[in-house]
Amino acid sequence: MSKNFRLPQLLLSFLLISSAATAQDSVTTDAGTINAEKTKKYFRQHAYSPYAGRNFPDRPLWGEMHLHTSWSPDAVGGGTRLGPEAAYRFGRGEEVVSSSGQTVRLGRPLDWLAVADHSDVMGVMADVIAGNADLMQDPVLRRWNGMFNAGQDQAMAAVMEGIAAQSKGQVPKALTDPKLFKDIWQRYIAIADEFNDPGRFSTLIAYEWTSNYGGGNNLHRNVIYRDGADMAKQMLPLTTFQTENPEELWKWMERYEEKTGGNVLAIPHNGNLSNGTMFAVETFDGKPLTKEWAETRSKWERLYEVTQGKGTSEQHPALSPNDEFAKFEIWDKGNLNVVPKKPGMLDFEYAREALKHGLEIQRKLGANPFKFGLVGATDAHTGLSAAEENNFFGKFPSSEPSAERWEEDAFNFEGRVIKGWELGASGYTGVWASENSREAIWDALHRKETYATTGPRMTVRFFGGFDFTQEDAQSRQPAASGYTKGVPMGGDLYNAPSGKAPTFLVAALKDSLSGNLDRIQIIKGWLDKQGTAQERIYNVAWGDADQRKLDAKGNLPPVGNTVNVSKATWTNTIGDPELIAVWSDPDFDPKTSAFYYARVLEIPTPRWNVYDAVHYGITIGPEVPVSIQERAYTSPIWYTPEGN
Amino acid sequence: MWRIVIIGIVLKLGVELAAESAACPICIGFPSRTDADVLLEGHCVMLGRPDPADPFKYAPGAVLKGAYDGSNIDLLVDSTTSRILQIHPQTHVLLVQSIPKGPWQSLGWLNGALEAVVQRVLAAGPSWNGPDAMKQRIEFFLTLVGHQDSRIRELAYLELGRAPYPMVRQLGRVVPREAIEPMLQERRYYEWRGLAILLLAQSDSEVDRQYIRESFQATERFAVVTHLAAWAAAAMEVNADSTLDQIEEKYFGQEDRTPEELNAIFSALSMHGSREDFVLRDRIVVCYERLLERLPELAPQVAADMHAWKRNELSDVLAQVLDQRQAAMDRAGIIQVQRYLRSVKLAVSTGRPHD
Repeated sequence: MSKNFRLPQLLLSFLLISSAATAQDSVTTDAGTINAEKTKKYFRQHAYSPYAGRNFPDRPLWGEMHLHTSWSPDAVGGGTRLGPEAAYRFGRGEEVVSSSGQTVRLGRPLDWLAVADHSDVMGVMADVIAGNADLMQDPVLRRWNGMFNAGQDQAMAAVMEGIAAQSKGQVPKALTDPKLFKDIWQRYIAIADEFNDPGRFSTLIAYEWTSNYGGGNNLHRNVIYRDGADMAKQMLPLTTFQTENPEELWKWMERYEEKTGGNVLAIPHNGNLSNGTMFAVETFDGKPLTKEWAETRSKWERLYEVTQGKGTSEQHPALSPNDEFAKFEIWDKGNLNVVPKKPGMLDFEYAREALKHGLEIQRKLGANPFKFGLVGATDAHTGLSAAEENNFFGKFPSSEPSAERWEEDAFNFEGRVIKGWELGASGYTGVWASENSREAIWDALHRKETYATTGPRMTVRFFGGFDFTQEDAQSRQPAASGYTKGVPMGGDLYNAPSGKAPTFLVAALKDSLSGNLDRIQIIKGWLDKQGTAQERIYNVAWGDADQRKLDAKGNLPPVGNTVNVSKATWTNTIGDPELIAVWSDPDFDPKTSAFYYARVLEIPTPRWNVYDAVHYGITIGPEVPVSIQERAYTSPIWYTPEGN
Repeated sequence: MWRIVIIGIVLKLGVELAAESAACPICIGFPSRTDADVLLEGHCVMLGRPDPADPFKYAPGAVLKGAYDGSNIDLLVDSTTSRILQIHPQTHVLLVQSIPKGPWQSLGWLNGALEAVVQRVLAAGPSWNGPDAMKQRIEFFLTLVGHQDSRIRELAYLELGRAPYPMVRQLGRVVPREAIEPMLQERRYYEWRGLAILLLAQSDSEVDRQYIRESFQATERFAVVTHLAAWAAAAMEVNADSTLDQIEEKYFGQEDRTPEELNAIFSALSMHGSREDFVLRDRIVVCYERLLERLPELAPQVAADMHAWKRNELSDVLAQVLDQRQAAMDRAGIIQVQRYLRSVKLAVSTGRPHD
């Protein structure tokens, strides 16, 4: 049978992957561990249906938590006119008209979405444009209203005045009036509640706290609420008018939870624009880290945005020269103001390096501040969560589809330029939640049962334990085995039984609309005998296994490339639609801490600029990549030895 | 003297927002220094490529200016530049060290055209001295203002932005329309528009002239400060009389105009008043008197113009301002006004022209 015709059968198989068995000794669920022996008395016999009694997540829920709308001041300044309502409508699958006047719709609806507008002057410019009666009492705002509505040149002048006013600390008082902020916040969270449709499309209340400390060092955090408007309204979001110190944000989060009884978590923005500050191994004030600091950070910052439109920050090729896939959608020119980056800064910006530093800090202090799971988001400022290569709507309205967007400057600070083509059509988060509800999704985020993708919706399972066998990869029910015999992504393994190494059950199924799978890799970080973190990448499952073999060093030949640049197409004649494996760490030392995460690579498919070239009939420069190996990154599983 | 003042005014058109530009995510900040400045002021200019032993660091290459001091080039070879250098093996990155043993700065990768321009700037720059330095420099970059390479085009545009206003008026006749169109139309060049507006003002097209009139009116109606000086100056090019009427009515006749607006209007008036061929200087002197009533802080600038123009009319007004506001004025401003007053006094007493 040709590979092209294997998909239906494999899709059917994958449905089985997610099913549960009831004949295990115990099942670990969200609610705890159920012992089969103890529950036997309640049943005359176990059900015929393998799905009866299933109580674990059976499919990933797709969404993201970093989307801006016209309620963000930079978005409205850039011409965005879609507010949160339009963003939610688009996310749930409706067709909308973009700020540049183009109709747009997602290929498939999202399952959930968190609009996270900047808390600084959130919504006020949208209110100015709309002519909020209270704001129109202020002559400057009344003037700006006229300018925005006059359009084009005058609107841009209003934007520039707003930027200048903010940078000089001369924002009209009406805009920083707490009463206005309270009113806007209540409307903002009410919109999230209005669009929250459990079971179909969940919305999470969120905002972005936007610290650009030190002249453009991106220390942004997205704050995600488990709660509805009834709780969220009780405290206003933190702004950088109050503080640019992330440690103060943690205090704010603590106060929120104490006051409301609700729950929040913070997700650091991808760190590639922080010029070495996102994962600095010192406090914000430059003091040595303490155990309390490490515990506090890991309590509130349980996830990290590893990929988004402004680059992917899993690992930099300079830090892992042997990682052939590290060179992927890298943004390493500088910080948000493109202040040039120096080589030493990279150590404190990328996920893998931070995870490694976390192990080192844990050894010294007894707590790991960088024990985070991985998520992906767009950070689009268009109100459009569009991370599909063939449906990419850019960062700002200026990078919405056009024949010129690839070569225009996406960012230009006094000649330090990032070109439009460097923007990435990334990313989304797959969440293994027990149901599609705000609370269940937040709980899954909190327990790090998440994975990031650069856009495609491949399904990825990743479990760690000490007892997985090859049979688990053949049973067609690996999820049941996974939850029964191990912990899912984001979990912890402790104290290896004598003579046993960690085993990992990892499975991936291609996105039905995207490319086949090239390979699954497991990336391990650990502490050597000197207490220094090391890393190694293992190829554990790969497509075309009949033709591709590992060499003596464990390397695998490239999968090939079927991309037809002139037509913006590819064929799934290479790679495999699904991959599954049980892998045991061959280099395991039970006395040292380690982490493991899976990286799933697709075969090459056309990058967004290739679709542009075909659609507009243009030629794009040779410096622009024409194909991309989309990928997924799971949250890690940590191993901690006895005594730690 | 007048030349220095005008250069300052024209520069102000572009750089009035430069202080905020670093925080602007949606447009290109207007740089206060051009790459030509960096090259000509640099201690060492050198080509570089990734070090084969460490492809994320630069290895020194051919020295174009000065001498390489052997210091560490503490710059990351970013991924995009690395990719471009791989595609173009003969391409280099331009590295500049401003002072000996100082930090290095990258001016980006050089294609053939840009490398040629760099070589020409380094060769010609040292001769841009003396009274004709500005003219020589402008003439050099004038040939590049329509270049197809955007970096060369932008560099040339920034250099032309330093021309004194009389020269800008001449440039308006020769700068190709396509070189200024993006500056007027594209949002990202918003901060760069000042020069483009002044160049557009030289157009004979009625469409352009109507656009200028409408833009000035809109700027006035919405009390916009950004580019107000340029729009006012351009509107005076289109029709000086009626524009001065509007200025008198709308800016001097309305109490709620801000000091920033009045400053911008002063810039426009000063630009035209300083033209040797401007026939309405008398009206501008009248405007200055009204300006001083509204914004006496402008006394030093007004005095400078009046001194340069050898006009006596505002000596009483400026003496009164000096008398009433001396405590609030800085030393340079006081000297400027006093110099004008002495000059007028001398001219009146001797019957000779101003010094």
